[in-house]
Amino acid sequence: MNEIDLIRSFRASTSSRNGTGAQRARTRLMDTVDAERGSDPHQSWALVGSGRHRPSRRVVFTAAAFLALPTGYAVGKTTGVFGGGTVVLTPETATPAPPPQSESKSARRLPEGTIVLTPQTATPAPPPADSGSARRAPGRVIRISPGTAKSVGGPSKDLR
Amino acid sequence: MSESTADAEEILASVGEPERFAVIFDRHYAAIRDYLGRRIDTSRADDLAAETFVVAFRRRTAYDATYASALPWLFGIAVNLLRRHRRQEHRELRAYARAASELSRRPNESDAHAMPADLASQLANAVRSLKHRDRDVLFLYACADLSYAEISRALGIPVGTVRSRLARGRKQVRELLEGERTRPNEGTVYRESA
Repeated sequence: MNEIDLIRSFRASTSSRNGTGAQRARTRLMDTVDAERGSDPHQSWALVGSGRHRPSRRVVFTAAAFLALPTGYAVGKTTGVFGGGTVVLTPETATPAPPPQSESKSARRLPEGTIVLTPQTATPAPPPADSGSARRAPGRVIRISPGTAKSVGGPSKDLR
Repeated sequence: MSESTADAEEILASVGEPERFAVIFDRHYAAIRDYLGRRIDTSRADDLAAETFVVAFRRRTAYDATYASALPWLFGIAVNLLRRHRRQEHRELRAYARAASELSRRPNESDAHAMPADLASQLANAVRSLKHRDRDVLFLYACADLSYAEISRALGIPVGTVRSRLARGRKQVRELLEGERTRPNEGTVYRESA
């Protein structure tokens, strides 16, 4: 047996196809497919957070939330997945945020044009400590200083 | 028409009809999962196999349809994803070698159908000693059954580089295993991979 044959049999027992894993993988792919294909505003969209620390986090939005986004925003431009499933989308042309005021909360420090989405399935946010936490309300789309947003309109390929 | 020809057609068609990408998954998931399962633990292999197809789906518009088979392309994505887990792979190989070595001292508990535990331990150490670039090529050649040209396409390197990395990897594994056999009672100091 030469070294290629040895490598071929190395850990072969752990490499066998795992039925549950295959099913999960297929479901994950089809969720992504559905997210791209979906145009029904009542259909749920599924995003899988790309954050390194929460690779399996799933966040569900309705298509209506995405269709309300201005042209130029794409799922691929997700810049962060935060607690409660909130997703922040920042346009590439975003201008740097101004230095935070001492009383500012995180929402005010986001760059201009940033869009914050919170999932409909999100756990209701705790009572806001101040106006800055309004973005945690479930199922809402909030634009923050949309200086770079061109329009708010119908579906766009950019939103897929 | 061969299945590989249909790969390119299915990917092109999936640009307009995304659900057609499921055919690519059904054809190639097992091969990708099998490869990853030889490189990293089961749960990570499951995750990376799933991620491979999601990434492939998102990049499908950039697929070069002059290549009939999508398999090398998919392996390229899988290997890229695996690179984030090099340290983990390294730790696992060390643990695997240690566990196999321990098992070899208890022959009655060994699986008669599996590779002898002492050999598995030596092989794990030899694989661990490889540079990751050589390991990628060696496993794609041995376990994924890709040709030189397909490995070249998967990794985005010239065929000549594939040949040299494969030759180097094979030689290193062979020499380390032979060294182990001629010095059965001596501890072997392995170089850590770069």
